[in-house]
Amino acid sequence: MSYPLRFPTEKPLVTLTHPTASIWIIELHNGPDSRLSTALINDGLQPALDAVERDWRNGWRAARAAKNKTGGKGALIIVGNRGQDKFFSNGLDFDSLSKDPHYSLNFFPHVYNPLMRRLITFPIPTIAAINGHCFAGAMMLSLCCDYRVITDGGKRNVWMCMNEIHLGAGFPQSFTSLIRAKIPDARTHRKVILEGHRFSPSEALEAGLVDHTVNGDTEAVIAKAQQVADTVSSLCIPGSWGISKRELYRDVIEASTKDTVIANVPADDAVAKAKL
Amino acid sequence: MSYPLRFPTEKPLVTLTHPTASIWIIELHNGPDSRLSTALINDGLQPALDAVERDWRNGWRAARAAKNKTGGKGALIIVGNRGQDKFFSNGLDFDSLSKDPHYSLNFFPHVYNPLMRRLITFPIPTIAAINGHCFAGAMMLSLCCDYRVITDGGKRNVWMCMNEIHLGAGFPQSFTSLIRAKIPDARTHRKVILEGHRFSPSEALEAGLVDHTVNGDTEAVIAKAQQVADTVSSLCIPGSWGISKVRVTIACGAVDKLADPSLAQRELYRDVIEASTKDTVIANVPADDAVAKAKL
Repeated sequence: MSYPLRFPTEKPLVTLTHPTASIWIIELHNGPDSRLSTALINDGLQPALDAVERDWRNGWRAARAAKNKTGGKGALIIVGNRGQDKFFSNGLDFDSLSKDPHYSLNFFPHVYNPLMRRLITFPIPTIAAINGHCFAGAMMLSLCCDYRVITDGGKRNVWMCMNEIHLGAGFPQSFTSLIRAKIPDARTHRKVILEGHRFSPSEALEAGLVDHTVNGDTEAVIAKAQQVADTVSSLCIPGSWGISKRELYRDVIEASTKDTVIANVPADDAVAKAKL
Repeated sequence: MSYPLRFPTEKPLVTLTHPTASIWIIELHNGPDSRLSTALINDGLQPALDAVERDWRNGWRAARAAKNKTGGKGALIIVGNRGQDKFFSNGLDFDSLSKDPHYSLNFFPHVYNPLMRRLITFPIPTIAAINGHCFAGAMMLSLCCDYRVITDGGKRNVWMCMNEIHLGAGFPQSFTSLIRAKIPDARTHRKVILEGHRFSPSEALEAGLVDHTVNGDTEAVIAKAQQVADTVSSLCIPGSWGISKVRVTIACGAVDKLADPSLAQRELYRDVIEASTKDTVIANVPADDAVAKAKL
């Protein structure tokens, strides 16, 4: 495979690179704040994840066939737009979603939750390199990853926040089950969900939302993510990283399948139209 | 009842003793490393648990009939082979299991998970006396107990570890649900399951995997377990330790439900019990027949 790869090819929203034999990096660049639109998820992220998985599995199978016990390492880093350091991602793209008449029926069951399930059970370790603000749907994306590193906010304010409470919005079951699965302490659940608290990087570290803070800009955050990746990239060699996560996070996967609403014909047809 | 009792009688794999009026000890001794084979579980542990429960319940009923409010105490300690201090148990017995052609269909639904459900809802407090290495299926066994004490590893290295990730093995739902139920902090779940970390006794204590570390050998660990047992053995006198662990509705006064055992619910660990019933796979006829053959 020849890197970098860009998805979708016409108007790329993500770029995939492979800087070392065992590390892949997906950069989100849907504008500076990388809103998680349907296009970014379905036409950008999912194909990029396919490419990573295909490439890693080819290498892993070859190593097993050659009885190479150190071959088949892998880790995936997800970072925001590398041309700036204000945003990891500002979350869902309400502008484009509000133009979709079937958003409330289709988006979570057919677009966002399938991405969550894919990411939370990805067969190699995943590290979110949180290089700026990380809000709502983007905070969820980062929590789907196995590890999180964040800029320390020394140069400019950076927050992790579920701001739905301030907007009068509710939560799909996928979101709340993920928060319960990954964030320690019911009091932090309350602070995240009910108080919509803006966590600074040091608060996020203390609350267990992230694993490391990093002094420096986007490239420094990526460097730290690579360091973390190198400590865990051998653990997927025996092959059960993904299947173990499927069991460890079973509640999240099952909850994510419950975000269905009463289907109506136009919404159902819209889903089919998008795929075929 | 006359102790010690040994199960199975022909080739004992566990020994049951009753050192004080309120304490029972089950010693696992399937070799030095006490592998959790089908034989140890079905012919050793389960009959031993039956004997403990039968004996405790007889004493508890007698105390209630005599209106003796301090009678009916009880606690169960599970320890590894007392003739050594290297192993609590090294987990499942893959040698014997790999010889069973129906292992992948039968072992968890029909052998291991029923033991887990029995132990996690046992009617008297249970204490795992972790006197040595505690790996995989054995770490799960210890987590089914209400309390855990472990040697401090001063004399020789001792680890608690779920090593499946290093072997490329997955997990039954019973295992992961138990880990979520008993171990604090999602980051520790990641460390246990995904990183397959080998926890030293002090790391295990800090992470909340165990309640106490003990300086000394197997007998010192048992002595500490007895100390812990004595602090909690009165809690089962009212009779709801097993059925609640701990049931909120009793505190709310739904006392009528106690009278009907069919309504007894194991609320605190309900998720674990329910998850453990989902480890069924598409049955095939030979596997199904093998289960029946083992029982009848």
